[in-house]
Parts: sequence; C-alpha cells; structure tokens
Amino acid sequence: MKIDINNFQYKQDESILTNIHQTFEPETFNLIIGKSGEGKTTLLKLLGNLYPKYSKGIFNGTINNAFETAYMFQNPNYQFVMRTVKEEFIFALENTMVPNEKMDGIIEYHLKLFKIEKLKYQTIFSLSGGEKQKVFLAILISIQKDIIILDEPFANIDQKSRLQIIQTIKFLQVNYKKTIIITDHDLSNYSKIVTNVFQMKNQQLCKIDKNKLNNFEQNDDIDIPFSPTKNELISFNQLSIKNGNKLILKNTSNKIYYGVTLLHGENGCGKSTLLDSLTNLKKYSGEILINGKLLSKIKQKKLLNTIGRTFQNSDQQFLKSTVQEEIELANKKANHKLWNQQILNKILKDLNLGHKLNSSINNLSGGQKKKLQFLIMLMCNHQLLLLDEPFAGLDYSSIQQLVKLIEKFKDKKSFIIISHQTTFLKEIVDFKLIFDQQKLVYQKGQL
Amino acid sequence: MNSVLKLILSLIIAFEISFINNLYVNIILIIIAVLLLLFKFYAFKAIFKLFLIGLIPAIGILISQLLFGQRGPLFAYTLFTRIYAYIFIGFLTTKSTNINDLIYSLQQNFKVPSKFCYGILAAFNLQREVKHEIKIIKNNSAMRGINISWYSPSLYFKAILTSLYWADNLSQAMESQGYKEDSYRTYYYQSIISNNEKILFVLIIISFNLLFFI
Repeated sequence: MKIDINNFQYKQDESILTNIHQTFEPETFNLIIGKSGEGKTTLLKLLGNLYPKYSKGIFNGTINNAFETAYMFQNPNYQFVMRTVKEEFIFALENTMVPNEKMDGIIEYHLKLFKIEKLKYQTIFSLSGGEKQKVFLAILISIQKDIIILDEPFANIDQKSRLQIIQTIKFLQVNYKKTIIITDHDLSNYSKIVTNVFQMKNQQLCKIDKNKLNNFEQNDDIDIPFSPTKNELISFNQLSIKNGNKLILKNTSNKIYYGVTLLHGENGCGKSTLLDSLTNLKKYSGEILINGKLLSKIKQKKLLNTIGRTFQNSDQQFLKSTVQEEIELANKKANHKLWNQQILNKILKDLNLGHKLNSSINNLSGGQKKKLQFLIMLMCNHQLLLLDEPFAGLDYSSIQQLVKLIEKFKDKKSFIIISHQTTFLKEIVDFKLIFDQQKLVYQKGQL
Repeated sequence: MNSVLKLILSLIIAFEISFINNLYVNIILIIIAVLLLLFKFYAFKAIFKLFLIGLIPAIGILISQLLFGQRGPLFAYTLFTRIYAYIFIGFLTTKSTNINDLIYSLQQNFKVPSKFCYGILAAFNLQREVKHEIKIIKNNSAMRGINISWYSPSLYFKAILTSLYWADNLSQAMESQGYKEDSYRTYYYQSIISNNEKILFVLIIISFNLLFFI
C-alpha cells in the first residue's frame, strides 16, 4: 500500500495531515505511535477507505491499495451492527460471501483462537469494553482481508490477554500473509514483533528505529501491600451483583478505604458493573454502605453530589457542545479555593487542551476527549471519584499528567480506579482490590 | 407463517376495517386475536395491559359519537371495537414475529436493499442501549449539578445527538466488516416462503373478506 497525502483537513486552513509519503509493504507488521491528537485515527481511516467518504474533510492525495482492508475502531461501542456475538460474526461472513455451510466452523475456530467461546450467544450490550474489543478482533480476523487496520485495539484489554492477542496477530501476519497496521500508546511487547515503527508528529509520518521500543519492555502489574491505616469509606455486606445472566459478585463482604484504590480483574469480571451499582445504575442484592449510611437510603441527588464518575466511553460524559462550555459547567461545581483561573489555565496547558477551548467536542481526538473528561470530573467537588479506564488510549506523557493530578488531589478526595494500564500508578495507589472468583479481595498474600 | 406475509396480512386487515364499518367483523377479529394470544403465547398480562391502554381512546371516541355523532350507536360501537381490533391484531403480529426473520425475508424474498434492512435491524438492536443511555445522561447530569427530569428537553437533545452519532458510525461499522452496498452476499439463515404459506395467506384474505357478507 503506497500513500501520498499532500493534505487532509476537516476545516479550511486547519491541516491535520500534510506531505505524508510512505509505503506499507505487504505481509509486514507496522506500528504507528504518536501523541493524542496528532491525527493517527484520521490517517488510519484514510487507509481503510472510510475517509474522505465518511468525513466532511478535504483530501488532496492518493492512496494506492490493491488489497481489501478490514478496520477496527478506537471506540468499540460504535463498531457493532447486530444483537449478539454470533449474529455479528454471521453479518461479517455474509458480507465476504463465505458459504453458509462453512460459517459455523469459522465462528468456532475464531472464538477459540481468542479464548472467547463463552461469549458466543451473549448480547453485545452485555459485554464489557475489553470483551467487545476481543470479539471485534476475532470477527475482523475471520473475514480474511489482506490488510488489517487496528486503531488502539487493546486500550481496554487486560495485560495477559493483550500479550496473547499480539502474538496471535503476529502468527496471522506470518502464516496467513497479512499486513498489519496498528496504533497503540502502550509500547510494551512490540519490540520483537514489529517489522516497522512509524511516528506521527507535526502532521507527518516518519519511520523510526524500532530498537527504541526496547525501553518499554516492562511488566505492568503492580504490587501494593495491604495496609489499611485509613478510615473506611464504603462497606459491602453480602453483596451480589448480576450482569444479564452472569453472576459477577456473590455474597461478598469487604471495605473500601479513603485514598486511592485500584480495582483489578480480567476483562468481563464486572469492574464497571460494580461502579454502576455504586451510582445506582445497576441493581444489587445485599448492602452497600457509604460513610456508614445505606446506599439504598441515600437520595440520588445527594449520592451523586458525593460520588462522581468518569465513564469508559468518554462521549457519555459530555453535556455541552464545546470544550469551553464543558469547563464552565464543571467550574460551577468546583471548589474555588482549589480551582482558580490560573491553576485551570496551567492544567489545560499541561494537558495540551489550552488551544482547543473553542473546539467542538466532536472534533476532539479520542485521547483529547479522555483528558477533558478526566479534568471536568476532577473539578467537580465530589468526595469520591470513580475512574473507569481513564488512561485508555492515552500517550505516556498524558498519563503522567493525569497521574500527577490524582496525586495533587488525593488528599482532597478519594479515587477508585479501573485501569489495565498501570505503568505510572505505583506511586499513587494505596490499595489494590481484586475480583477473584466472584469475591472482592485485597491483593493476595498481603494480608 | 412467513413474517413478511404476516405483516402484509395485518396491514390489509387494518386497511379494510378502516374503510368498511362492520361491528361483527371487528368483534370476530378481536376474539380470534385474543384467543391466539392466550393459547399460543400465554400473554394474559399483556392483554390486560393493552385493554387498559386502549380504554381511554376507545371510550373517548365512543362517548363523543354517542353524544355528538350523527350516525347512531351502531357506528359508535364499531369505532370503539375498531380500536381494539387494531391493538390486538397489531400485538399478535409483533408477538409472533421475530425481527431477524422479518429482515431476512424482506431481503431474500422481497429484494429490499440490504442497507435499509440492516439500518432497521441496528435501530432495533440499539433499543436497550438507548434506554441505558438515557439512564446515564440522567445520572451524569446529576453528578454535574444539573437537575434533569423525564420532561427536560436537554435529556432528549442529548439522546438524539447520541443517536445521530451512532447512525453516523453505523455505515462505517458496516463497511469496516466488509459490507458493500448492492454487492452479492451469502445467507446463513435461508428464508423461503413455502407454497403452503402462500395458500394459507390467500385463504385467510378470502375468508376475511367473506366475513363482510355474513
């Protein structure tokens, strides 16, 4: 695939990509890295023939591609058409004219390849973010296109599954002669696998030395000793929660303390569902006590004044049209002793959002949306902030900025964080609570 | 019976009883629909609920015709029963139809464009998501200090915006999985209308029309 992009812009006088002239050789594994908002998704959508057809952008250039492409979105929530996992497989296989008598075998093979056999008859709605990404990867692989384009496909996937899937994709590239083009912010596990590494910077795409990836080979799993020196904030008594027909917690009792708690577990274990229960979005049985009061007895308005939450899908967080309006709304609920204009301007600059104030939310990149979402919820004066995958799809420097902010505010409020990306969290996390066989337990061996 | 034939049949029945005033035909239709719903789908609660839902418009039209109408009480009773005939025939059709079967049959037997069919199907599939989305909007607004109730315009504004965003992404989602408009596709579920189904369809139409002469 040879690409010659002279210019691509969504608006007049605002170029997103300029002078990109690169070739992706067949049967190679290509990793594209770069900071949030550099135009990686725009580039991939051009490569996947979705843009300029589905954008209002102006494209000047050519993309010579004799092969068919399959494309995976950054946000897994917008990728599905059908109701269940099996129906989605069938839809994709019908599109590619696979004879109907072969479909069952192909579906079984790919479900097994990604270790998701249990999800076959589940509705897409009931899947977790990570499960959606795994299912869609399996579907894309099953339709046997020559070029597979993946836009941050592991953002919500746990580290163990991530490594297995990267190896599976490498296996397909080598043995089934596929060309892989992938963007990712987490650079670990790639150094021995990639053929080429490209960097998006200043609207351009440059090939860089792949040995640079060697610095990122680190184990992300962090070890937090359990030492409850602080008072309890939440208590669970005989708590049971169901997601569809699946029991995710069964008669579990434990406590969450003031401070920063990392909530850990494999994809689909029910981490986000637990946060849903804490904000009355999901029914449960048993008792949840917040500051010693039964959650069921606390009025919804008072509860949501105490607990704030960032959603895994950042589009769900925004209520206004522009960045400025979102910040103004958050400022109304902020503690003005902690948040003055000077501090806010500095944080906006650190998060690289200062120049985006007048932008429409829809025009922000996935990473910029994540940072804005985090900022507006941090500004609101909640006692406890629930963060659901706040670092998914963010570059390392952005994650460090968010971690610094958590550190700065951890004396003022408590945090419960769900994150598969834990590289920078060791310094700030006080407790690590794990989903283990339908129970909530603090890290094993540390009691 | 094939889902599309069933839909066409219910539309023909609804169309005919809209223009031909016959109290007895309405009553017979209601009895047949209710009996099928009771014995085939055990929909006791739903029948009771639908009866209550239809009560206000049905009584409204009955009273207005009895008090102010020029065409006598028989016409008023016909209008009253017509509402329930619509409700129960409509419910019987939806209760006995699987949306996937309907879409597959529209595509394969009636050559309706696949893009249109999958658009409808996706809209059905998004129903649960939309309900969940409305819950999230309310929850999120409360966290951000905005009181929002079921009648707040901002609730629906945000819900509509989200739906538009979904719709925008749907075409891309389809294409990213190899979908091409007007291209040949295979079918996992084969939808075939048997001769028996066609004969049954014609027989029901004929016997229904004969009812008007009894």
